[in-house]
Amino acid sequence: MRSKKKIIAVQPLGRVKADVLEVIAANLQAFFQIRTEVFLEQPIPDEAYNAHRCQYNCYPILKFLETLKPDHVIKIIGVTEVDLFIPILTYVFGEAELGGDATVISTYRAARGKDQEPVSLKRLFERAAKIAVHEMAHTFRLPHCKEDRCIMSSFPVLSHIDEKPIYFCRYCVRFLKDEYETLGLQGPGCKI
Amino acid sequence: MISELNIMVVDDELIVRESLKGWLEKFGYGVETAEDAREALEKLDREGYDLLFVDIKMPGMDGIELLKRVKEDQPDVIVVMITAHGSIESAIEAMKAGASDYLMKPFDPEDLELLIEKLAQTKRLVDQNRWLRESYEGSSRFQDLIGQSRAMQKVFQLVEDVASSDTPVLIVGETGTGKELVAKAIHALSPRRYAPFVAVNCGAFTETLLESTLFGHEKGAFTGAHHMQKGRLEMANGGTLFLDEVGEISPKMQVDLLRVLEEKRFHRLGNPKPVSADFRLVSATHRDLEVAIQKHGFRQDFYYRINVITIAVPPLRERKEDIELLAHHFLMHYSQELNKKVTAISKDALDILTRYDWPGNVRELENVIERAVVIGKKRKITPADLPFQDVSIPRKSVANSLEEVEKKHISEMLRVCGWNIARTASLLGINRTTLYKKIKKYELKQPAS
Repeated sequence: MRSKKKIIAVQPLGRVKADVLEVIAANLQAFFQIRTEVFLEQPIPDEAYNAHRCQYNCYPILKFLETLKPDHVIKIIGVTEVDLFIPILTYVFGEAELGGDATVISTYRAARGKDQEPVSLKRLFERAAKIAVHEMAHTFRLPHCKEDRCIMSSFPVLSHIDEKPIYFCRYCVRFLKDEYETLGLQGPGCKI
Repeated sequence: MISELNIMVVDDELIVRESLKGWLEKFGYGVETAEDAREALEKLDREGYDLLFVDIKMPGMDGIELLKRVKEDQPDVIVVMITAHGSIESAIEAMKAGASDYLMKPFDPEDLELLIEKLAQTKRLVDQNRWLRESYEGSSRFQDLIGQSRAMQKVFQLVEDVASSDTPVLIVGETGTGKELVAKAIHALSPRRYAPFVAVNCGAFTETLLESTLFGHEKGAFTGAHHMQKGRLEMANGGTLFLDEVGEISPKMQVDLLRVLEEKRFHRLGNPKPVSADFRLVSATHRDLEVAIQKHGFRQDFYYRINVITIAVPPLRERKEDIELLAHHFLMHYSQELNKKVTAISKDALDILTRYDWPGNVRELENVIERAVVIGKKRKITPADLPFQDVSIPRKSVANSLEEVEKKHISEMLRVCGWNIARTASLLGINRTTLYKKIKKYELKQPAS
């Protein structure tokens, strides 16, 4: 029996398109087999902004998300439309610590094409869902995968994201099931 | 999960260390961090790393200096320099000092990923290269003998040439050069290899005991002979008999053995019925038997009988190019046997080992490495782990009498072996009683410390 307490929270940080949040929540619920709820919008913490880089640092955001996580939430994913970075990298689409409670993703770059033109909603939904599933899986201790078609393979550029289906290879399913067992959750099934 | 690359991130900024560590761990790599060069060197000394990310600007020892130290000690380690203060000068300096690449913070994610892929490929090539090198070095191994020097290659060739026949072989060489290993190699390559290899140290027995050991005896053949006992000659049937320290055999025994070699049969003590002798004789000595013939009554006819082919095993000081190879061989052997993580020898220690004269030859080197592995606390053997740091031990002192030379040599060997009598005696090729007598004779005293 899946515990009622265990849910995944989708936390909008600043203004985020409602349908993007819905798509992310639906995909997370489908792939991780854990009930997912969209929380009310919260502002991005000020200390995350780096004026020199004109970007937001993921680490203060992750700390902030952990403070927002109620007991019945097993994982929390922040979603934002601002550009994110971690100190060693020029940008990231999202960030999560392996085995951490929180992850954050951005649609800033996912919403743009090669020449910075806006992409179609369908493309944006696909990218947002893929980034969310990928980063959320990191919180379940899944590292990057060498199987190119697996959603856990690394995608440093957007073109790589577009090439991938939302699909976990059998090894990643195995790792995910192991982690679910460790956490006392029911194993993922469904489309995985 | 077994990581393809073991990585260490060396940076004085915690946020850089942690974020790069986190990013790399998502690729399944094992990652350790160090906040300065000193900590990095300590960790590198304890554990093996394939790849180091090193910040150029750090307090204390900077990244370039660390890079140089790493490349000096462990040239196979891949080092990538990182800096937020990038300048073309420091990049050039780093590349000249052996850095594999150079990155400016913050990195482009795609560049970093491509770099890691490239470095993983480099590591695979380094491993492959090491494997090929070790395979090449494999040609410097012959049975259990090790040596890439021309002198040892000649020995290997000679062993191979003589192995197939039954011709008696005399192996000459100083104590500790590996004469028994040569004898075993001859046996292992001979058609007799499936039959026993029987070794007898002739110097370890009195004449009567050696006689009974070699020929065996019947029950009641002499006082104390409670059971029939087969001798070594009989035990070696079909195989190889190795007479070590053959120069110590008494003239009477030489006559007896000569007869066995000529008649191919012998009698157990107390039994008139002859036993056929079918063995290949390999003998060894550290003595100059021609001098022994002249001065000590060693029998010439016996000498010619056992010395149809001579194999001279060179002392270690005459094949210094083998020292590193042998030292690493013993290091691997003892680190595995003793389950220790000592897996490398520092350049300074190797330098001392190479310059040392090795009066006790390969056996002394083996003992020194075993001792260093036992007492070694770090991954690498350093000069502090060696029993001697001063390698200026005079070997060829011209003005000394033979007794003075012997006294000095015994004293030095006792020091090298930490006054372990059994080991020193073994190194010197004498028994413990003799060693005690010599210690008393020369009034040698163990230092208080």
